[in-house]
Amino acid sequence: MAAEDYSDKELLEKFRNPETQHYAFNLLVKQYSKRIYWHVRKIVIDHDDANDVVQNTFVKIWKNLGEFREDSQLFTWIYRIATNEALSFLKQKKTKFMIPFGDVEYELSNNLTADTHFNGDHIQLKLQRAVLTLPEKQRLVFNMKYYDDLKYEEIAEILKLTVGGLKASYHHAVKKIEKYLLEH
Amino acid sequence: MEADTNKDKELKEIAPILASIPKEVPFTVPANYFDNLSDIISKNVIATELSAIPKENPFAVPANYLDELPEMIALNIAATQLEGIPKENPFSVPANYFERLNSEIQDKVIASKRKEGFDWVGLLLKPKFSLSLITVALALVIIFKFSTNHNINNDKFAFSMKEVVNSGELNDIDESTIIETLSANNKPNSIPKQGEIEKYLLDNNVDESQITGQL
Repeated sequence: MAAEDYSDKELLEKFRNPETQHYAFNLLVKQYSKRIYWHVRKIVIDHDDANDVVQNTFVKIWKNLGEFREDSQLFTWIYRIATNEALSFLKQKKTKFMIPFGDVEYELSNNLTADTHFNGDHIQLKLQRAVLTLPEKQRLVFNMKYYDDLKYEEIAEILKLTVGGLKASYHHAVKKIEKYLLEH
Repeated sequence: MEADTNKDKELKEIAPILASIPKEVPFTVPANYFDNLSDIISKNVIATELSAIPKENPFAVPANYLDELPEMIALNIAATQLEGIPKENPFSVPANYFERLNSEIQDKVIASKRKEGFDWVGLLLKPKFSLSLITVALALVIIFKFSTNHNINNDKFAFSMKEVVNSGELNDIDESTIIETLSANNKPNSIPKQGEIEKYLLDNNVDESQITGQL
């Protein structure tokens, strides 16, 4: 059986049972690993960095799933952990390489052309560079809305923001990208 | 579907260029990445669980074991190396050595027992002692002989006058000389007359040397 065949509640019950804990966790990994990976990849850009963040995310899920209070969906809880891990990673990168705040995205943008795991055309390249010019929160909202097609309510749960604020953020993000595409 | 259509419309209105770009993620992953991702994540989780276990060593060793271990290892290595060396005795002994050894040992034992009383023989065998002894003995012999010869010479004096008289040597000595000599020796009362010299010399034991010395 696959994870989607179980409700969040059933999956959690299996996880809390020591005998089925690993089984339940493996189901969870199989269901969410790909999705979490692409979410993280769009934030950190580089594949190896994304891989590290994904590993850390699931280890954290393993450690804390037993205490999940079920006050949100399991999926949004997992997404939140992944988002926080990706943002922490970027912050560490700024500190480690003494890059000024905001210039990390500039560095990521420059690395796009050298990235062996980037196969977009010049339009896609321009779009990615445009997205990397957005402020951190707007970039997240844009990625989750534009690429992942999440509902504002889900994004609100993940980012702990209001739906209205998210709509405004998305709107501003789209406008900025359009302007960038027009000017470059 | 209707919601999607509305979203697309909204996007076209506010961002037509963006709306025209295909909604594709331009990133790729290494081959089979997602096939292996679950396993990699599981291993990471197990590693995390293991790291949470306190790193206590539940094993104990005998007292001083670790202190002595380097030496034991060195001895074992040396033993292994020695095993490769053929166990041959490279030394030899003179011919019939062991046949003679027993009797030599016995002799030495006996010799050592002799040393318990005073070893005169051993002392005499010592060159320095024996040389000294010989020197002393020779000296004693020489002294003894010397003293014996001296006595013999005195007796000769006793017979020499007779020999002088009998040999006729007196005939060669002037009588006046003999008489003068006798006078000088304070024998005035008995100064012999001429012709009685021989008798006088013999009867009075005159020292021949007194007379012969005048010649």
